Amino acid sequence: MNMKKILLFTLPILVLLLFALVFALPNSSSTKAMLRVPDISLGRVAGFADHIKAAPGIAETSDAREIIAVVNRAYDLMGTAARTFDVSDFPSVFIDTPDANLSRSQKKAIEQILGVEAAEGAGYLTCMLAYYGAWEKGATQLEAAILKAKAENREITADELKAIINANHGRVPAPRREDPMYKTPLEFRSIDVKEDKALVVYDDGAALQEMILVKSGEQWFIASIKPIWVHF
Amino acid sequence: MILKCYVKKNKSAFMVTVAIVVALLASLFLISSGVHAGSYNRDAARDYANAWWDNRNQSYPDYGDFDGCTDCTNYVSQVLHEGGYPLNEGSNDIWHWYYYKRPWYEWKYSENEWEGSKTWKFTNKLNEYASQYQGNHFVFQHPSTLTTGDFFVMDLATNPFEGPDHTRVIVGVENGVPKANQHCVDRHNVDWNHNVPGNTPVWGWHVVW
Repeated sequence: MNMKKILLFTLPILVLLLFALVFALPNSSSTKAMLRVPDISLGRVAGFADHIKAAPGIAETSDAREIIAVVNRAYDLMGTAARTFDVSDFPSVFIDTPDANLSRSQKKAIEQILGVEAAEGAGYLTCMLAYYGAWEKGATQLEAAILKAKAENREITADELKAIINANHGRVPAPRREDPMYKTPLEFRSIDVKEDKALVVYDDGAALQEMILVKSGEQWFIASIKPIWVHF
Repeated sequence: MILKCYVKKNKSAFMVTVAIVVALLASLFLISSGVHAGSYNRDAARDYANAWWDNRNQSYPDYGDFDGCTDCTNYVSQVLHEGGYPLNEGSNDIWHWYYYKRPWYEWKYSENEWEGSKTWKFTNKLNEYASQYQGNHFVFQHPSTLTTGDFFVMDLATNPFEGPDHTRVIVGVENGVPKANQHCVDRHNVDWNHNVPGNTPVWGWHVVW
């Protein structure tokens, strides 16, 4: 067999193999980079409600126990605010620090809702106050429009909804939560405390979250929450 | 004068012609005003949702099924379409909703040949699309009152102002509780608020097509 023929047969095969290595294999499910959350068996935390679980040994220090209590209280307050829009106790769990590292869209939203001055130096507390404030404004306008439409025996119109969206900086208004208050399980994967700062990884059912807390005085405050993996 | 004579001679033919013209005009009016007489097939929507809750239909766009999966809104769009809610083709903006076959040169190694409009695949955009057709194609409703074939959108309250994050479709109501399916993570027949923290803003959309 002459060399030319061998090359003629093997070259296309080699090219195909190369193509498969470069493009196909990195995309196969077996080689896909998978975010895998460590499978930690979580146990009930003594002294806390049933919906709070933590990895073994995680809640043994007083700092960890205080942090779990603050996170739990923050979810209580947010759940209540979703129904009543009462945010008066938010400053008892959230705090403004540079740890929030707010995104451009978050800063822009705070500017639109609370003004440029409030946006300067805003942290997680200000962001949450603006968010629930905006939610309240949209929901209240929506409720008024629905009430008016019901009185006239009709649904609210697209134009009425558009007017509310325009008045809320282009955001579709979310209705207030009308169902009874409930809580999804909070599962704590890790709590790393270094002096006056703590990094907490936990799951609230909707997402695996990374939270930064800072200690101010004798109390822990939430300075940032970022989703790592949204799964609902 | 000529017309008058003609009408007098062919009275019945004239009446039929008038009836046809009136019927045509009425149809045109109904079409242009968006009246569609409840053609959305909720059973078909449910059947499709249940057939594909843990799989990906390659006749539609596919935005993944493992980590980094962003297929939830694409899945809900497919369910709406299979229920008979029609494509609304046009510009890739919040007034249109469609999917299309990409030209081959646009394929990337990790995507299939189908692509969706922004409103077809992005949660916040589908929410905005539905709001454009409030009262006509969809009606704003609390999720606990939704029924088979409806959908709802959720936002992570702990990540404020980053837009809604997730979409679910209702596949039935058991003991007064709407049950939902979703992609990413794939779930079947869970309570509508399964894994939805109590602080979550939720937009429910009842299909009235």
